[in-house]
Amino acid sequence: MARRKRTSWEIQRAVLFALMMRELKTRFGSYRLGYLWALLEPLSHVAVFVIIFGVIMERTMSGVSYPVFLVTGIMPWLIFSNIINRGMVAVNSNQTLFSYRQVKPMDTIVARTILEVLIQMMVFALIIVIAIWLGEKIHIVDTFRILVALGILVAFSFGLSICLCIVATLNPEVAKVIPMVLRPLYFVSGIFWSLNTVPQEYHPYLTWNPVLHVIEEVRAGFFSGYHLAPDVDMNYVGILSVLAIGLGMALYRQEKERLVAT
Amino acid sequence: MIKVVNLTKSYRTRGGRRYVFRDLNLTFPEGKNIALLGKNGAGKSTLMRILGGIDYADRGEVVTDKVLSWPLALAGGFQGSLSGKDNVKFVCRAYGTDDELPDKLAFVHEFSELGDYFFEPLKSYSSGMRSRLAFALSLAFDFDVYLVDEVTAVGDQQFKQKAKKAFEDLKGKASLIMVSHDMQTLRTHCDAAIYLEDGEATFFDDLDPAIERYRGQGA
Repeated sequence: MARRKRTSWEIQRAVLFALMMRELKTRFGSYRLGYLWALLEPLSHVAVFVIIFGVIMERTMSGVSYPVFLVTGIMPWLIFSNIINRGMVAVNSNQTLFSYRQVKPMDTIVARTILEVLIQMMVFALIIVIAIWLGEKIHIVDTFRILVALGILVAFSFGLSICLCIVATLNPEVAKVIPMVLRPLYFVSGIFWSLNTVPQEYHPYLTWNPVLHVIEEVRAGFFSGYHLAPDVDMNYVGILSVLAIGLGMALYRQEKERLVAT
Repeated sequence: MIKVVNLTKSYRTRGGRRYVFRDLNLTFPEGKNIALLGKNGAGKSTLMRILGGIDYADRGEVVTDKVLSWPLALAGGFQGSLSGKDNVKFVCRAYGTDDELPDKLAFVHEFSELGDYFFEPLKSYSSGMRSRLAFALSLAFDFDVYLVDEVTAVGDQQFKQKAKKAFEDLKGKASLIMVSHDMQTLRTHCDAAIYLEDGEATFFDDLDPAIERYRGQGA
């Protein structure tokens, strides 16, 4: 072949781009509204909960608009759960692509994570714009703090999804159990409530959950004067992220040959 | 030249570890179209996959300065819900040839003779159409060596002729390593052979004695 050899970084980038484009096409390409679904899916999720809890139940919070409060909980949750749920099956649903030597199992997890982050961040921004347009008074206190918290969440979710993907690919029965375990997490992550409204004696039962810390931290960056419970600790989530990614990489090194079905 | 150096490959089976190759050493000479012969389970496809970089050896390595294709098999490598066009796009992107994307799409569309089916999902294809697409796609890249695994039924008679001619046109530019149980196909394309048996490889400068030996095994 006449063309010069590509560097491994060029190959990596090309493969990730190809996977992401393909992923977009597979997920949204065959529908009439097409790529709009990428935004409509999470938007409708948020809308339903805002209507149920925010409007119908008329829950209120001192100084904070409840619908916006919900959004700041749902969006981090969606980032977490979508990375996990999509990443977990990334290898299995892309098996045919491993006939091309450039495409490695890890690439499919990375591509899905990047795509999910891009989609959800766009949705987050879009929802804020819509909320302002609807007359919500939004003044974000510390955007950087929010981005750091979400960045750590992405790292944690990515690491966990590598671990779960490897386990689920090698053991299909586990793949059925994981969503069952994740679902209850939805209710203990502080999407509908704030940790500081929970009596202190119950905190030890809740604060093991890293997603809760992230959601609280995002709100502290979002609302001025948010009552952040003192036991919210992003260092804890950071350490968990490092552990999850480390464990994921170690598992991957060990098992990557078995991930590709022969 | 492609050199296989001290290659060991085993699989875990319920009955324990089964070795396909133990310290296999093998050289594929330059410019020859080589048939890989051997009984079922002799390791032909495994060797192809290792050459194609999609399976790992326990030990040893493949040393080459050539650009090898992916193993061309009939079914693999395509996503059923995507159109032929989108599948081709994916491979072109993964190979980092975005700049030539329109040319490559046009070539594959034309060569595969799929017509409007090119824009339909792969799952609506017949097996002949699938293999025509796979074949056309591989020709869109200038590989030095094409790894061809059991592509005996590339479409109808007329397309077979076209495929044969395409491989003949590649002579001098690219060579083939081919696995097939159809001796006619091998005779058409290959001029040397490697016989695999019990993890050993024997090189034959001529196809006929290798076929003799293969038949002699009562396969």
